[in-house]
Amino acid sequence: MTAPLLEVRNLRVHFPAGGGWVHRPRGVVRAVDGVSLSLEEGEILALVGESGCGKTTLGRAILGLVAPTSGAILFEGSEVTDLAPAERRGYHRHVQMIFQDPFDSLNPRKTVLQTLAQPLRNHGLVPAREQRAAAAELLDHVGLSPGRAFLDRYPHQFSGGQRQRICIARALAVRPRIIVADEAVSALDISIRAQILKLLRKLQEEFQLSYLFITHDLGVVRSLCDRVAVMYLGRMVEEGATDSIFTLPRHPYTSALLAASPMVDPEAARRRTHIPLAGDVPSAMRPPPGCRFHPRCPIAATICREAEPPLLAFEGGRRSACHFAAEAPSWTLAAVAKREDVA
Amino acid sequence: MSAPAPGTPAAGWVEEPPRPSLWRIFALNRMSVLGLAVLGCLLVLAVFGDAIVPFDPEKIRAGPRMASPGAVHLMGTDDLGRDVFSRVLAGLRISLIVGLSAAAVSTGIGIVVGSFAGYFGRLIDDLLMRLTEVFLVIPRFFLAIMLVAFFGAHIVNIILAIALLSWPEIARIVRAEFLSLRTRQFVDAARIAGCGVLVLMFVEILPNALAPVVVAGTLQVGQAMLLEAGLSYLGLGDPSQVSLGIMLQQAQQIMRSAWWTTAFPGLVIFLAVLSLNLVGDGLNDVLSPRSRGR
Amino acid sequence: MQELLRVEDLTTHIFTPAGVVRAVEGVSLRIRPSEAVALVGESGCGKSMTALSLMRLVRPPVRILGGRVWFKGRDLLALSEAEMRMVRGGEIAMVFQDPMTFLNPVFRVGDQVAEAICIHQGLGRRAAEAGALEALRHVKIPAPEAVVHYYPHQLSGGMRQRVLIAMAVACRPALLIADEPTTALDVTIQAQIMALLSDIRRELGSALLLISHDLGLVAEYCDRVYVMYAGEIVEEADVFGLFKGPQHPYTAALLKSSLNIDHRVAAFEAIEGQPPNLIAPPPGCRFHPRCPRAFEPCSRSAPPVVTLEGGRVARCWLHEDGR
Repeated sequence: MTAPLLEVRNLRVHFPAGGGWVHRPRGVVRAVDGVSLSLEEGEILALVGESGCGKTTLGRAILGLVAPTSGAILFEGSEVTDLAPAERRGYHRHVQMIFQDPFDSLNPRKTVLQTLAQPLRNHGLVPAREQRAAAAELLDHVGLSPGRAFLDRYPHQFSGGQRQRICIARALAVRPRIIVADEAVSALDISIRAQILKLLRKLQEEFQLSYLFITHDLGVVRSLCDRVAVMYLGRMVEEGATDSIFTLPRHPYTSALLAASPMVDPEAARRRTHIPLAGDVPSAMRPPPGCRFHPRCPIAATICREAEPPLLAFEGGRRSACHFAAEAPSWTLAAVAKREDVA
Repeated sequence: MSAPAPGTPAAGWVEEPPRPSLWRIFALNRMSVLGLAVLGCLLVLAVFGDAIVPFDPEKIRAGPRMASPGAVHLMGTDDLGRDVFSRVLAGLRISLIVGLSAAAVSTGIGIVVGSFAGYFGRLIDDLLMRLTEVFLVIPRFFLAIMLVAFFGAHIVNIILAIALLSWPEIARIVRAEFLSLRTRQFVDAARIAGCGVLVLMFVEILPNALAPVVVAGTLQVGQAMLLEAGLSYLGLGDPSQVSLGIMLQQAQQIMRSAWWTTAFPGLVIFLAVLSLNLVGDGLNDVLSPRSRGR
Repeated sequence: MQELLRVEDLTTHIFTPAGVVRAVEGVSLRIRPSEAVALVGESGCGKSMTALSLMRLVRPPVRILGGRVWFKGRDLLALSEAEMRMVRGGEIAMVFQDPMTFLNPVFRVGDQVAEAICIHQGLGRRAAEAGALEALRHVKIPAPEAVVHYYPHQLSGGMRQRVLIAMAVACRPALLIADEPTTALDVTIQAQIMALLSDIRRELGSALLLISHDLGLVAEYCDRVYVMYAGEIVEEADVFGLFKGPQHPYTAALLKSSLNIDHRVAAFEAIEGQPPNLIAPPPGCRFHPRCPRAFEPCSRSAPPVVTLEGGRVARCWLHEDGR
């Protein structure tokens, strides 16, 4: 069996909260706390969860933008966890990133050409005199055509959707194998979001890309992604093929996320059963003992408060970290019944 | 529909509305425009002063001693019969050179210290900022006197002494800008595009951090001129140069009988510093993100 | 049927150095008592500006140029500022996207809620404090006795939004305007807040004007919908009719662009281009440059506002003969 294109093994990223040389840190934020996942060639894997679950930190760790506390990241089977600057540059030839905020991810003082020429120059991909043509071609690829008309403009002259296209062009410049997209369409309006998703899917086919698509939007996940990994408070709680998870979630957190996601259909929305989760996400500095989800879980039992559930394998390569994962379909009713008891 | 001509965006894309030009924002502040005009005149006078001065500023007995201002000697003459107008122009040039050079050196040191402190944070930041604070807590004028007295009252020493006292302000500004800019996504994007640390610091981040530095640097030119005048007045000026401060110092004794020997150099210092401050205010309006976002 | 609020021909422009932004152009809408109405559109379409205008919460360079806002028989735009203050937060309350712009960071939560109650109910200090506690309990804040002593920054985003709702509903408003109340929140918290808003509305019988870009929220929580594009209302319909058969090409395109969790879309359908610059909006129909069904009159003159069967309204040349 060949190694997956990208593999994350038991990764932990902990940050000291506050503090420095003079002040002592107030504690440790366990942003990512033992996560394993893999991304296959040509696959679109969604990394889903609410703010503070560690999905963005995991994405940044994969790019080497934050240093992992422990664990390993492997690209094509070789370790890329702690690379020297020169090796990291070589690794970034294959793994690129698109950021969330199109108004923050372009340097306001640089023209589009300067932004796009940077990766071309740093990686020595194109001779200096051909950079302009190469950059224009990149813009054509992302639907800003004719590309040459946009090269000498500054970011403020573009709208959010256009800027995100420029960011995609920059990531594409080195012809990477993997693009990590961190909430790449969250800041965009519906009509623009659809344009960008369409573009991302087109580029995936054109350049045989693999995406790690970090998002909180399950609607986007359903239509774009092949597989889903759900995170909660630094841990992976469920993983599997998109259609299979959306039809039968095996973790109560996944099913609560699905129940909370708005549906663009008034009739279906009014028909479905609601299980609103109580309370807020606890602090990643003091995660609850046992299952981290138990304080908000509608079906939590004694065992959930005491033992952390292992990530168990299920049919079709699915994994779930719930003590009651095997009893999945009966939850919704049980949860609703429990809610009515309380009320 | 035919293909769009080169240089025009494709159909469906909408042009951004034109943004008000920087000059228009600057011009909203009338005082700044006035300041810029005065500063411009002073700069022209300082640069081309040699060509228009009627007398050699150093020439003794260019006219009668202590003549009051008149048609020949526009600003009168001093106790050695030197032409005050010629000396004021020469002095303005020296004062501006001192002010501009000191501010330039100070801004350079401040940018380097502030960039490293702000970019690397943690230990480097702590060390550099404690060093900065040491310079901030020492009384500036006192230290300037000590330095000039110790190293000698040469104009280069005076410039360096003033710069050494002024950089902490710039360093703190640059550090604060770096602290917020280094977490911006475009910095991460450049890192992933293969840029090294120095490129990230000085090509990606620094240009975005310059706006408040330009404002502070402008104000420092004026402060440096005042500091130089102060040092000269105490007799620590470079005796081989005519500066406005030295003129004031030399005229101490005759201030009561010949007011023009102190009034005109004083007025020019006042105008130069005031106009620099007004221009600084205007630049602040232009460069602050609040006004750019409008 | 009796209307609670009727907005007629509201026009609000923003006077910027770059030109006049025609943010709200002749907007008319009505809300019946205890009805949930949505105003949907993408960012910059003027939906928030409409809400701020009808509450008279605009300051220069924004100016209300015309129109009437009838509320319980009075024109809000003609009231004195003092009268308007009693309407705001009393009979009409508002909840914003970012609670931190509304809560004062240096005062305790309880005091801020009590203050709001004080102003509108003329209660004494003691009674207002008791009222504040009651209001926090009403919005299901856990341990309200403790939370009244907290400062806003000590609360999570969802809890802050609950505090804001507590302040808004303390005076039993007849109309609650919620401007993107959950946009900054995670989905599970969003579901909590929306459920809370529905519960409270049912209990008080208040009407709701929900301003949102999220068609999912609209589908789930509203009875009637106004769709806004580039400063104008382009379609008005009941929620079931709108989602089943949109009558304006913009609404249709928006629905096609929306993604649902219950099925996979094989091909993303996008509206090409982007919303126009409202300093110089396109002539004729403001949507025509992006409209897949645009034809000859669309670029020439403004489309008619056509009332269709079932009281639905669309601003489109395609329905001209239906007039």
